Amino acid sequence: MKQLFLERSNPRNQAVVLFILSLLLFVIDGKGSALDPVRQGTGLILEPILWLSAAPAQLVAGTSDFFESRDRQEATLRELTHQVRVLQASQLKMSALEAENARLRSLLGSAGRMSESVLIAEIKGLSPDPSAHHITLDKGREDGVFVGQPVIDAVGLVGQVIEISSKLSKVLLVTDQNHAVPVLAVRTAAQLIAEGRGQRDLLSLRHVSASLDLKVGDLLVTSGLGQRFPSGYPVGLIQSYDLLPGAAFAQVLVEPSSRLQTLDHVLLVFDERVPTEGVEAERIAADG
Amino acid sequence: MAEPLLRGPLIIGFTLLIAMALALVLLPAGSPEALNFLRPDWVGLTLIYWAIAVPERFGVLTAFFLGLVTDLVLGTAFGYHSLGYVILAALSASTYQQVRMLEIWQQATLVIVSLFIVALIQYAALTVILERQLSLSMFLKPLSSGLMWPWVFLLLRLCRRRYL
Repeated sequence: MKQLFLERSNPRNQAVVLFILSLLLFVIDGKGSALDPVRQGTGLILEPILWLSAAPAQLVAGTSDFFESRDRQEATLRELTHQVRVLQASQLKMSALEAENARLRSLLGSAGRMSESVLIAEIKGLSPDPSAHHITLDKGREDGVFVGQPVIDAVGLVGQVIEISSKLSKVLLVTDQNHAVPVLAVRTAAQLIAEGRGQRDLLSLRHVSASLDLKVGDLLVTSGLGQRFPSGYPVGLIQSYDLLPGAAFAQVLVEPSSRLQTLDHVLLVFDERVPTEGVEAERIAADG
Repeated sequence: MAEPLLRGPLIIGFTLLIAMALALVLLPAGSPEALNFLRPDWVGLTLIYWAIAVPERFGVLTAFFLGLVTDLVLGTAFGYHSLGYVILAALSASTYQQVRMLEIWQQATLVIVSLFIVALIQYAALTVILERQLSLSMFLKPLSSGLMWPWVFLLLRLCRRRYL
């Protein structure tokens, strides 16, 4: 390689060689995962640049917080106190129901549900590349985050962790074109796969056969197949269902449950089966 | 210009680092997606400037490695940016003598055209090889970059005169 460029070679030939080399790299990295270790290995070097680039977004968020009026903050506080009371009350019932659920499950002889705990993470910013739906979180390897970890918000599935450094992590959103998640239609228990389309507010279902019973408004939750996402988290509602005459599969569009456009905090889900060493104190038990 | 050899390559690297940080600046959560397409290609602009101003120091090989680093930083597939930057550097290397003579606004037009060519090739690579569906709004980027060219040019010329 070095030999090629040592003597002053014709810049045009050089350009052609490098162009072809770039194309080759692009095909290898774009189609497969052979170069992923390179990316993982360089995560640490990139950290200072990542922090630097997140600073302006944080500044904007910080100043808008600062100038928020006292009245509004008081209103928010009142609302939150109210919510906490309501949630505490429902939590009381929750533990009773949970016990009952466990008892019934043991009667049925099926395996108990796994309990999961979560870690709250703040969003540092959105990806600068519009064709890739990524967000950067302020939690990393030091907090026990791992690659492949499911990410949710208060209302539904957000995505999964794809890259981590010691203090930051990058999340692939469900709407990214490279993302797919196994789902279950709650009404009919149909198993499907929801894929991202590269649009911030839409998912589509793959291979929906014409005979499958699906309606607009059906709720889809994670099915837990594939072992990546725990089962039962809402993914989205069916927004449209189109079946062209003669087509084998229906065109089904899904509106994601989580508010992907206006996220500011998300939850990283820890499956209790895989104990990770991290700061346990910061974790809040989600159920049990 | 001949004496402070050590400072020369350093200032080029420094400006490229700044450009990369600018390119990576994350948007505050919840800002509209359309903003993304209007962000100039800061690294590309900086590259064009140095490739025209000091072609003996900034060739296609440098552009290639710069592209790889940009791919790493922005998280795009390896080769995506190096593809474009090799073309930009090759175009600059074959035309720098003429381009230096032009007015700034004429240069800006050329910058728009060459970045548009690069965008076309990158678009083709993404759709053909990776079979991605892309919105055509990525072609707005050359336009916003061209509008930024005069300021980038004047700033970098200042840097070059002082430090190179």
